[in-house]
Amino acid sequence: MLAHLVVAITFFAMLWTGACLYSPALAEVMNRPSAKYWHLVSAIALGVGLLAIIILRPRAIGQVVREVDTFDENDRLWLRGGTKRLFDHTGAPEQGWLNAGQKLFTSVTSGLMVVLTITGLLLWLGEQNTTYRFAGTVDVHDLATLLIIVLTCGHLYLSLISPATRAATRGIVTGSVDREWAKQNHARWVRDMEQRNK
Amino acid sequence: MMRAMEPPPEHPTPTPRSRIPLGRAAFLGTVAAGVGGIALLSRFGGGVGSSLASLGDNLGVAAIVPTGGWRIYNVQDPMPTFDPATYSLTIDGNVENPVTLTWSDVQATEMVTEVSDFHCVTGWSVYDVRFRGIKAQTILDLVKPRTEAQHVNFQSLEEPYFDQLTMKQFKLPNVMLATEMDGKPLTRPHGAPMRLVIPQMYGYKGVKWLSKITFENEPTLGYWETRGYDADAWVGKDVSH
Repeated sequence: MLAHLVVAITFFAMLWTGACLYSPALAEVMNRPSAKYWHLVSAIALGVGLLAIIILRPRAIGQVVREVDTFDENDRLWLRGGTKRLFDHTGAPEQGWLNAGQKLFTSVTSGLMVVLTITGLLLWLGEQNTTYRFAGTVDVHDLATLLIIVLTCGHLYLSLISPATRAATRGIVTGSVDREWAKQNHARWVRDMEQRNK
Repeated sequence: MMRAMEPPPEHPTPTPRSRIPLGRAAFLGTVAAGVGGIALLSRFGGGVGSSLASLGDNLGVAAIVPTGGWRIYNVQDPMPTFDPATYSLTIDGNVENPVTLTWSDVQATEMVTEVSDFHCVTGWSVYDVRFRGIKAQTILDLVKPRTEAQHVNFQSLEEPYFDQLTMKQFKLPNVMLATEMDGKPLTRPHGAPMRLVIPQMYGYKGVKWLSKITFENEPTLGYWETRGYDADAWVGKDVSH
């Protein structure tokens, strides 16, 4: 999915330039003025990119948003299974296109992206106008970054390494996944698709 | 649907009815926590950044991105490079004895070690920093400013960065021209070979990569002060005006 690619590329661009702004050890690798410039360019690219995709593909994005937003009884039972669900889907209640963990991850990271945008905007504005300067802005920007790094590490682990879930990555790259795998992990989605295609 | 070998689902409900908008709740909750966090930390904060840094250090983040709590600020690409062979510190203006010190002259000057806190106007602080350098009084004894010269200008090698203090502020305790930090020579990001330290004020007053000190009769606004920052950057005071 294009939106995923836009988020992924700009995320790593912002992570790298942000690390250069954050760490004295990296301050010489990329100086503050250029790191700040590319940090802002990446943020704007993410915003413009997502906006363009929303305008061009409103129905597809709307579908994803609805899927992420809505939790049914099965999702609740899935979450009650705790963290073991992340690694083992046997016996789990049937899941739709996204499982409850993926939905929660998407919601929380989206929320963190908004928090990072707000705090980033305040940091940028505060540098030119003292009205927008608050003592807590840097700390919240840092905390949100730390959280999103931890979540993204988990995201990468589950999509690239963990045998139980890495089959889904094919879906991100090629647009299709193995039917048998999907039946085991996203049974309701498969059934919905099969019914729709009848 | 299910293969015989698999255990049955814990509670299979193939046609769930209740639909809960938990996604937007998680999204809005995260945003609210972030915005609330800014308000709370601005009011009661302080030290969250440094505890975060020490948490990071303990978790081994220090190996990847060591910070020690510091952020590096500079205004021009690239940072100035210190060359001991060509470096000089000029101290002039309305003084009886203007001097230009080479790097070995600087090293031969009397130095002291003092511990102070460093506060940045953007909200982070580093506590108990051990600076070693030349005290303001040593400079005053050396160049002997005339009585009308009540303002001190500090020029950075990083053009056009520059800032100023009043003579009274320059004489405050713990003010120094530091060449070492925490037992090591200042690194390039921290302003090698020499920076101004004035713990009573926010860090933007502490000119890094110091190249020239001029004693003047009239005040001049510094780099950030021409961009709206307070000329008297007292720590803890509202810096808006």
